[in-house]
Amino acid sequence: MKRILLMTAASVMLAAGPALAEWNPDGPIRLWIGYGAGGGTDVQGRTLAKEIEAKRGWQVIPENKAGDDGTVMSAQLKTEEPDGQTLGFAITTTYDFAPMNSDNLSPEDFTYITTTAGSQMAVLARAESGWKTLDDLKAAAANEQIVWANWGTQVEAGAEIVARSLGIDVNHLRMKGGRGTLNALVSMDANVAWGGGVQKPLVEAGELVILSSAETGPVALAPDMPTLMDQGIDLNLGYQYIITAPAGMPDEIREEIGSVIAEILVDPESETRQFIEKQYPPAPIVTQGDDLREQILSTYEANVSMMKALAE
Amino acid sequence: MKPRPVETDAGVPSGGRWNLWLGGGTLVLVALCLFVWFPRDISSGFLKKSLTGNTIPGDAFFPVLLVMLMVPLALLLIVGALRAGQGGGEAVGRVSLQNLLFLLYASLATGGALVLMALGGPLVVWVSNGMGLSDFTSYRAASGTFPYNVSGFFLGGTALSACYIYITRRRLRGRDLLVSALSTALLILIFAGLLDNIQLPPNADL
Amino acid sequence: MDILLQYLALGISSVFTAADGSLWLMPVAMVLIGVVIGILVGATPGLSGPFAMAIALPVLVSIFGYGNEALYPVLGCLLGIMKGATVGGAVPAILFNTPGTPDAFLTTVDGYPLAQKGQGRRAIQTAHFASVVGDNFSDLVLFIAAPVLAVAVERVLGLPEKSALIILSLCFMAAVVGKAPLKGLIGGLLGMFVSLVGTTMSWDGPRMTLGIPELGGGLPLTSCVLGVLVLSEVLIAVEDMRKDRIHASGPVQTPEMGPKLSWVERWRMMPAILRGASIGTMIGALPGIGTTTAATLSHDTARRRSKTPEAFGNGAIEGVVATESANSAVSGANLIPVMSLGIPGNFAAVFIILAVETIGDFAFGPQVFRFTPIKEIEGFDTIMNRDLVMAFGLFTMMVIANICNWSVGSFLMGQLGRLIHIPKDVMLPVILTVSLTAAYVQDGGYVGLLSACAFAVIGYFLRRLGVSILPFVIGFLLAPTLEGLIRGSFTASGGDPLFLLKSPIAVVMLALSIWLLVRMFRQSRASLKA
Repeated sequence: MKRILLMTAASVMLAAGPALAEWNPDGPIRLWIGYGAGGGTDVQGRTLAKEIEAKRGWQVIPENKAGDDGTVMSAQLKTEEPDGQTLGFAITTTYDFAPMNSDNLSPEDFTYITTTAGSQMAVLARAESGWKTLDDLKAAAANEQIVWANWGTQVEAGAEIVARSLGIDVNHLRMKGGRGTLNALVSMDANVAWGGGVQKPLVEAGELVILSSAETGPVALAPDMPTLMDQGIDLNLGYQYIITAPAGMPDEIREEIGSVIAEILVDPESETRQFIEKQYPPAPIVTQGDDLREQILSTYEANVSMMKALAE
Repeated sequence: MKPRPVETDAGVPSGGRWNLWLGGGTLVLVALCLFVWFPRDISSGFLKKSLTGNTIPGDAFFPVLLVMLMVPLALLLIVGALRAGQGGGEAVGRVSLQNLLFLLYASLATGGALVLMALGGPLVVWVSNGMGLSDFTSYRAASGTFPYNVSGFFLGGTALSACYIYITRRRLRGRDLLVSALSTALLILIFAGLLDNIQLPPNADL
Repeated sequence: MDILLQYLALGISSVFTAADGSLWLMPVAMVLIGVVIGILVGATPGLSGPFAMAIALPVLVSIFGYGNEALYPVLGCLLGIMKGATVGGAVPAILFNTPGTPDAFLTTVDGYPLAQKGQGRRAIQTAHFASVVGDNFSDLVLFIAAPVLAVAVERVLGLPEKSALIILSLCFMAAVVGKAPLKGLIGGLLGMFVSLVGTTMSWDGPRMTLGIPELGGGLPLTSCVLGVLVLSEVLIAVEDMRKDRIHASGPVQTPEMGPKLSWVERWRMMPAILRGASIGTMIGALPGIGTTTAATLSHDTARRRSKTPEAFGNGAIEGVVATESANSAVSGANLIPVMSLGIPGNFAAVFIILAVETIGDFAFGPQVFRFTPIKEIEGFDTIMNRDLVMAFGLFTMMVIANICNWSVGSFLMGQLGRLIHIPKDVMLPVILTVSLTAAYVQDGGYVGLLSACAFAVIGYFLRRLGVSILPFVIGFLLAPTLEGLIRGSFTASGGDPLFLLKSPIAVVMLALSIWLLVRMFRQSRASLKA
């Protein structure tokens, strides 16, 4: 388990403490949100910015730089000064998958400060389909065409891997973002879809069912459902929201920014934490330092070999 | 004052060889796109294989179709102009040397004002540091503090309006400067004063 | 029927309620503010409705944000401006022979002589009355036609047909706007071309960015439209004033206003107003033709049907009725293709679409009018077609805007004579600074500002060369949709190179486009014989 869970982060925070702050920014910090204004990531980023300001008195200015799940923002971020005053907010996929298709991005271009929240990646179907497990999906594929909604190359590859190991044929449908796949599923344009977390209300309402978790453990909404790995499919599509900076950032700056964010995320009163608990249950995920870097680099390697294997 | 309709372009004079230039220019653009720009700047090709082995359109699919559609239109334009001889073909306006000169003026004015906008803030910080009013290490450090954060915009914005008033009237009165400064100040009041998280130039590009 | 009423009720109440269910008057207030701004802008020579909408959109977005709850206030204000401007334009046209907006040009023909005869008040009140009635009439048509058309379209059109429809609309637009249809169409393709910059949904990385990472997210829509529409117009006006050494004109004498318009006179005008409004509505529903054509057509028809055709041009009140009822009726009808097909037909519609695309997660198109059964789910939300609720909300705000136009408009119209004194040679430079600032603020930095500048130069050349800007802007706006449709229909056809020619409807539409093209070419050769 590469994630240090909340308790560890909290102890780091208590050891550092606000009074012992070693680093203070020289002027405002710019937090570049890799998504458009108004979405869930944007709200999380802006709430976090506000709480960092309140906690440390640093001025944090959020700016939106949308495009391709944070890659457009990251391409600009990597050329900035690593002085802690320009930070990026995106998801781990931006760094451990997207660089594969890009000439100007590499996982080595960035300093990884902290994760904030995690996905609830799951295979979804409509409740009325009557399917409960992947086996039901496999059985149904004999009689009808399976259309699987995805939002990007990585999850499309994941769908293909699942399909191949089930021995079924799947048509892939590319939609815009997690909301797009849910819409496709609900409006019957697709009969299976990936969900990263936005599915929560629809699953709770009994409209959608979770066929399998695609994380390393079960998802919060279906604690009894096995993961893909449990079922012999070597696939982990889980991702985390992550704060990054250009490569070469001094350790004390990285630790100071990391610790203030950990402090906020551990505080049950914090607005950011409450938002995460609601949107990305059950709780914030805080991985920092070398563990985080190690996680990104090794996942990148794994993804590269996954795509290679698929292409063959 | 003659009205200038926005939706229809009435009263276009016919003339010049501009139809030929435009048609030819379009063809050159198409050639450049197909042979130079697209191959270098679109990473997935015209068609590509999907993960499941189907042929699907790549990112160059639509752009190529689009520029190919320009070819017959440009040819029609050229043929129309050639058949009609001098000054014929479809109705067309003209861009004269005077027009280009005006554009040059306008871009100099705009460029100058934008430079002032970008450098005005650092200048103000430098002066205020020199006078001992502040001790910022850089403009970037001051870019969240009023009035330093809007000083560049104020200078540049005022200059921009004033330059254009001068271009329009060929002279500048005191009250024109006043109107420029006041309107820029009003923009600052709205965007920096009343609204949160809005970055006036150049603060979103530091 | 039941479900229609349910959605209608939801739509109306959604305008007045906040997300938490409490009473919320902000959208109504913004409609009112929009109407007032629209009337003022319309009455100021050199400014027009789309002009004000272009600048207002980024400012409104900075104020209200991007969330779904921002949609009504922003749209309300834009609708108000759109409707107010068509009313306000008549005042300077009548009093000073200077149309406040281009579509009021024909109002000068009969309005100014009337004012010279000491009947200014009657002329202005006629213009107001005809405008407002015409506007209401066309809104009614919109409310009925848009859903019906959308449902029909959704039933008949698949991916290839929708692609063909967009192509046909662009060809039609190029053919009817301006005198250079071939170049207009090339402009439309060019507009599509520049919108290709940036990323697609394919995850194959950004394309056509020339190595500039800031362009990875695509060219900023609002800033580019602001540049090509507003800034290029400012540049042209500045250059003309500089060349002609026109300084702001001195004080203009406001003519004697004369008697009021009586209710009996208003009643007698109704048939003529309805005729003008019908012409305006029909013209407005077609993409690209616009207010000026509608006004001309209506004025001609009224003269031909009149018993005293010689009075037209010398101060016939029927002339004012014909032009104003027709040009105002365009504004509602031009939303028919927008709401049912997602295809804008004029600049005002462009900004309504831009606002909807920028804010929240709504979109226009045939899917708007799907009457999904309303189902409530505990703890989540109600399952329903939110686009449809928004559409009815939009209709509600249009009705509110009309009421404002009736009441506030008639009061304001009397006071507008002064606006002629605003010196254009100072106002336009200030507008330039405001526009560039708005572009920077809206699109997060110099990307926005510099795109606006670049598009201003494009717009300048297009205007100087007599190429209509409308196809360029619409092409720019519709390209992503068209690309999605084309790629989708190609994939769905299984990689057939003739994928667009598989359906008879698509073939007919494409054949029509080619026929329009041939006509354009013939026309370009005919014009030189004349």
